[in-house]
Amino acid sequence: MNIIISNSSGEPIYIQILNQIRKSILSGELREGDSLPSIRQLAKDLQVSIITTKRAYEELEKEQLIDTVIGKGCFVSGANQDFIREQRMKRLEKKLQEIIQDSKELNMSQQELLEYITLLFEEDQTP
Amino acid sequence: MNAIEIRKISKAYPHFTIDEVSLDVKQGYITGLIGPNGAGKSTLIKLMLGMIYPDSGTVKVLGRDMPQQEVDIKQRVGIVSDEGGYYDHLTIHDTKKLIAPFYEKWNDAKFNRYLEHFELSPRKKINALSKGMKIKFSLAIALSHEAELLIMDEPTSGLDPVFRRELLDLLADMMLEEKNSIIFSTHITTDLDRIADYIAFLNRGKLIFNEAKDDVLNRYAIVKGGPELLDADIRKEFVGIRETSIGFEGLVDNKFTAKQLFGSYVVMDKPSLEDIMYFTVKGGRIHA
Amino acid sequence: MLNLLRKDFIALKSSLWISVLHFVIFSVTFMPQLDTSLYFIGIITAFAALSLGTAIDIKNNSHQFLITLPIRRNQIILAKYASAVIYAVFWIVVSFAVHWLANIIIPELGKPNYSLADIIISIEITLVLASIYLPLFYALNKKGATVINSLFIVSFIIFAQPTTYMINNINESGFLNQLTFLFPVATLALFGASYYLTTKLFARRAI
Repeated sequence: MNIIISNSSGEPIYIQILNQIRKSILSGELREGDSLPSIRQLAKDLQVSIITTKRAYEELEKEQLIDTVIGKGCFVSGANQDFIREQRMKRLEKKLQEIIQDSKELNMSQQELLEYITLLFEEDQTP
Repeated sequence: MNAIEIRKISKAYPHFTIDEVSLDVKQGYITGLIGPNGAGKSTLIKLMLGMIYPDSGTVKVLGRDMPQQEVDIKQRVGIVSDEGGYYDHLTIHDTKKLIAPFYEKWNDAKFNRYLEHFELSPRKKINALSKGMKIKFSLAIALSHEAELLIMDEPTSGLDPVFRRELLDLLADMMLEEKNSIIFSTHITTDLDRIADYIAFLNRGKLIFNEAKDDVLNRYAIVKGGPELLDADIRKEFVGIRETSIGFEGLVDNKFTAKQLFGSYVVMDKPSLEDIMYFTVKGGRIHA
Repeated sequence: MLNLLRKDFIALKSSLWISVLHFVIFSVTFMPQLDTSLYFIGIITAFAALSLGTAIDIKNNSHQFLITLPIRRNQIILAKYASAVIYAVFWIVVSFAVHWLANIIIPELGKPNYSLADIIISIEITLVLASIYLPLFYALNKKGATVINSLFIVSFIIFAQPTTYMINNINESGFLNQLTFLFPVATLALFGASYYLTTKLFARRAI
């Protein structure tokens, strides 16, 4: 797993860490039971504050993506793939709702939005 | 748990006063004590170490009372400063020989490793050491008696940028253990931006805040806008403001109220610790 | 405490020869002149050694780092008082040995035959002086302490002669003999009181 921090990005560092670890888990790069660096080790490696890495891990724990075993370290959670998929669907739903909201502001009809999405989908598939 | 607990400590000098400062230094974290020169950082550190006695107030270090249990405390505390007070005519080796027997947990092998790492020759005399080398030596002493708390007074001021980075690594190494804590004072805030967990800001003998660094940087904002936006009431919203004929730039300590107040009429930037220090120290209106 | 004495020894190792030099200079100056040279050579050398130890602390601001060591402030003081005793005993015994040798090698110097009582009285005088000097040293700041150091040494040289007459007079009157047994008690009491006073003075000093 790679974590790359940008100091010039507008995003807070803990969000950057959070997003990158989450992505690794959701994409399957990290599997159930894989160990993660400890909060303190990660802070040392990234030269960031311990609170920053701690916060990222706390968020990941809240999302049930990782487990912290006291004295042993952090591991990718045993929460099953269904759960992870469900999480991703939830996020997708939220984004879609935002898109629907935006399209309404642009006076687009449902049909127009669907056609737009279909068009983009096809464009994405043609290399 | 707190590594250091200072309660309502006061110390008056003819031209300067530490005024009822209460400060908790959290165990397991790095705290940066920032403030301009003369803010009272060194005085506060001396109060923590029992080098100066307060007029009133109490100090607890590692859960023990200062100065009643100072021997116990100092066994477990490492102190790093460039005014070591070591004997100038002695070599590093002799100075080590003189210091080591005082500590129960002295680790000679570790000390020699640090000397090698810092490229300090044991045969070098103390008076031949540069400011930076003195810091390194005093750091080697502190790290070699298994200190749980490192108290550093302006450790980075005499160091070149390369060693400053190395120092961050050494400190992070120490912080791999949850029981360890570090506090360091500095007026150069760029080092702290990286690894400090908490920031305690001292100005004119008063503690302005002691908060998680991320929270501080989130709470404050730099607001920039045109001069026509300012009137007496608006100016009051700022901790400090710098005005020119073409616009202003100011620091607010509550980003969210400022957002509501100014909406999209201004540009809001993330502040650096240096911005926060500058505007707080200057205060009020700064004309440029 | 032993560690603190060890510290002084390491710090002063390179200036040991200065003490030896002091001894030689004082011996050459006082032996032909004073009947009480045993007293003066021993006492001044011991005292000069003590002030070397304190001067080195002032010069380097050593209290800055002593205070960071896991010791109590009064232990720093105790070590200095202990070193005063060590210097006194050492240099006075050396002084006695040199006078004894001188009597054998150069009898024409006409030095009196000193006794154990002379040694004890010399040590007592040194401790009395240290009892006055050390509280002053620890109560004063850097500048003041430097002044005190030179003041003590200079006054020794100046008062050497008059004091000798005094001691001789007292000796002749036989007054001293009656009170000799009281002296050690009084000296120890003064030394103890002085230590107590110094710890009080030093306890709250800013460093």
